Amino acid sequence: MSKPLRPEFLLWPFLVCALFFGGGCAASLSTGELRGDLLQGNLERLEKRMIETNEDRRELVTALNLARLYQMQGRWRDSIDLYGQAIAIIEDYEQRAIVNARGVLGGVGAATLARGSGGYYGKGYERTLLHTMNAINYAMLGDFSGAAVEMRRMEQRQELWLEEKERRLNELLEEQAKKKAEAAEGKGSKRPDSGYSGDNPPPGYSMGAILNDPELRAEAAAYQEVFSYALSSVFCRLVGDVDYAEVSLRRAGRLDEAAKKMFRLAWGDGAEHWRPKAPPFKRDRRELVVLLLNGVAPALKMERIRLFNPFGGYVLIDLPAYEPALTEERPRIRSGDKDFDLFALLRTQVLAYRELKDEMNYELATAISRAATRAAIVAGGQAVVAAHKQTRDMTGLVGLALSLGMEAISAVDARGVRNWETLPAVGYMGMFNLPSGFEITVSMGDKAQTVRMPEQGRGILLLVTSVGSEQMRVDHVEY
Amino acid sequence: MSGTITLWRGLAFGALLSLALSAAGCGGPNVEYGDPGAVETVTSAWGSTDLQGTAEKMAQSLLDSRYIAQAQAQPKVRLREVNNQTDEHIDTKAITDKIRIKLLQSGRVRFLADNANLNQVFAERDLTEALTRRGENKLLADTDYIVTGTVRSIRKVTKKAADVYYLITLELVDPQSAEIVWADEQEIRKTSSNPKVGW
Repeated sequence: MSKPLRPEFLLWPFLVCALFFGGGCAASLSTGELRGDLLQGNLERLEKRMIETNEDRRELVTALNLARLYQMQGRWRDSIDLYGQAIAIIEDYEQRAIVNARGVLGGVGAATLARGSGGYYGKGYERTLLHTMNAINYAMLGDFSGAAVEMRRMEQRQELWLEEKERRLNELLEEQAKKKAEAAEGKGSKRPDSGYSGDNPPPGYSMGAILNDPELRAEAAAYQEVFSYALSSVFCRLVGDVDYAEVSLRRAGRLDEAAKKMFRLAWGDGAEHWRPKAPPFKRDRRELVVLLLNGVAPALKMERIRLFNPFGGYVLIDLPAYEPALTEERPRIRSGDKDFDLFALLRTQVLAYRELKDEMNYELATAISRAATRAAIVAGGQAVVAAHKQTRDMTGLVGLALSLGMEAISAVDARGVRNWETLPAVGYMGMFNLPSGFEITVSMGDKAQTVRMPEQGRGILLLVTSVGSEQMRVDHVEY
Repeated sequence: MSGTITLWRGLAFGALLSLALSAAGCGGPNVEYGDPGAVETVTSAWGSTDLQGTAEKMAQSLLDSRYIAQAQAQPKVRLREVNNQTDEHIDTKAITDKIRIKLLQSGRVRFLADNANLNQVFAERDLTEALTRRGENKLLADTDYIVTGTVRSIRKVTKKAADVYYLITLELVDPQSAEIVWADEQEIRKTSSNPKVGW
């Protein structure tokens, strides 16, 4: 005679899952709350929440978001500390054993139960921009040597990003070739194939049209970040590392015509040889480098998509998607009535969407796998309950409870899936030569601030940060 | 009834397990004194062993150079900046400070204030000048040699291993003629590999 099953055993999977997923959720901060506080300028409240979240979770994104918040407040040292924490998390991740239990468990978890269980260690562009943003902190402290160090790290990250992309794309091509060969031999894959892909996203998916936008498709080679290279050229030149500055300048110019135009305007057509001139240019003129970081980057979220199930009915899958970047009004930077020409070299929306498009095949496969696991757990639970006489009557109830439990796990996981949301949406850059004492006005709405070109030194670096149409901050450092 | 008891037993066991796990992480950190000269290999980044080794070798090489060893009078030297062209935030002043201490302790070199403390010297000089108006302050500029240098690095990283090579060069320059009268280098190579299997 089989041992009677105690219904309370069914509670254990939920208790384990609740401990696993709910452990770090005490101080979670939603994208809506984060953006709301940024737009309304409630930075103190936001900081408090972010500190709680970071202390609670110690994750890459919590450190990055707080680092960027400090940077928006002009707290350069605090920001450097937090970026340091983020770098330590990435380095710890990279120095793990080649086959490591955390990676295996995370991978299995992401493919079976919850996407967020794999941990988030940043996309290639986020790891690159981490160093670029940190370089700005050093520069604003007047430590251009420190800024140049961060730019060298940034370049290494760009190279790693490129290598990683190449490897992933090669793997994808190999897999496609293998599938074709199997289909030709009539073997076919036994794995379920939704028929959807990065080129053919499922209907109802909010990112479907965007991912196939011709402009985004044209960004196929956007695996290097122009803004960072352009800034690297400026900072390395200031510390006398002219060779390095030249390499960065060439890369920026080749990746984006706008960068080429900006350097030509600042350093003249003599930039045929792309050799950055050593400042100062003329005794009575000073250099102005403008960095305008506007808006906030797209925010990663999980979206539930209903897919047709060939075996009957529908299946719900959870796919990553983005809340669009916030790019409203941007401040005017002008002298008198003439606006300075700034170049939009950084567009995080394009970088984020491009990465998502590349990863869509993998995301679809794991989303379907997770949906299948959830269905199997519900069906398995129901089968166990139905197999025992004492509990048979509870089959429907247990099925419902398990389904709700799976939904709850999925919802908790969806909240935990985040990216670096406080990056700027757009990064503008401009370089100019102006007479000493010249006044520059930065204005947005009814707010205006004036900065005067210095009488001494080589020039100034002007950093303007804006979010929405209300929040604007102007900082500058002389060099 | 027995089901309820089992549930409570399970919950109590879970609570005890959580308590035990939490307690394992309690208490302060372990603090110990260590040998400052011991070889440090915590990470492959620039560390105390690199700093000490570089300063030791460079200072000795400088003392052995004929411009110092065979000088009739103690030459006056000013340490200028050592450029950091690596991808690490290396405090290059720590290198020059260590070299200066070793050279000063040898008693064969006199040092003039460098950029870092020249401002304080200027403040002191302004005060003295205001009081005495003596022309002896020109001695501040009478440097026989300046020491400059650069730290460079090459880093290669794969998923399995990392290799970093440091090249530290120092030069002794006669500021009047701009002649480089002495130069030496220190090379450091560090490799690290990720374990094949682990947590």
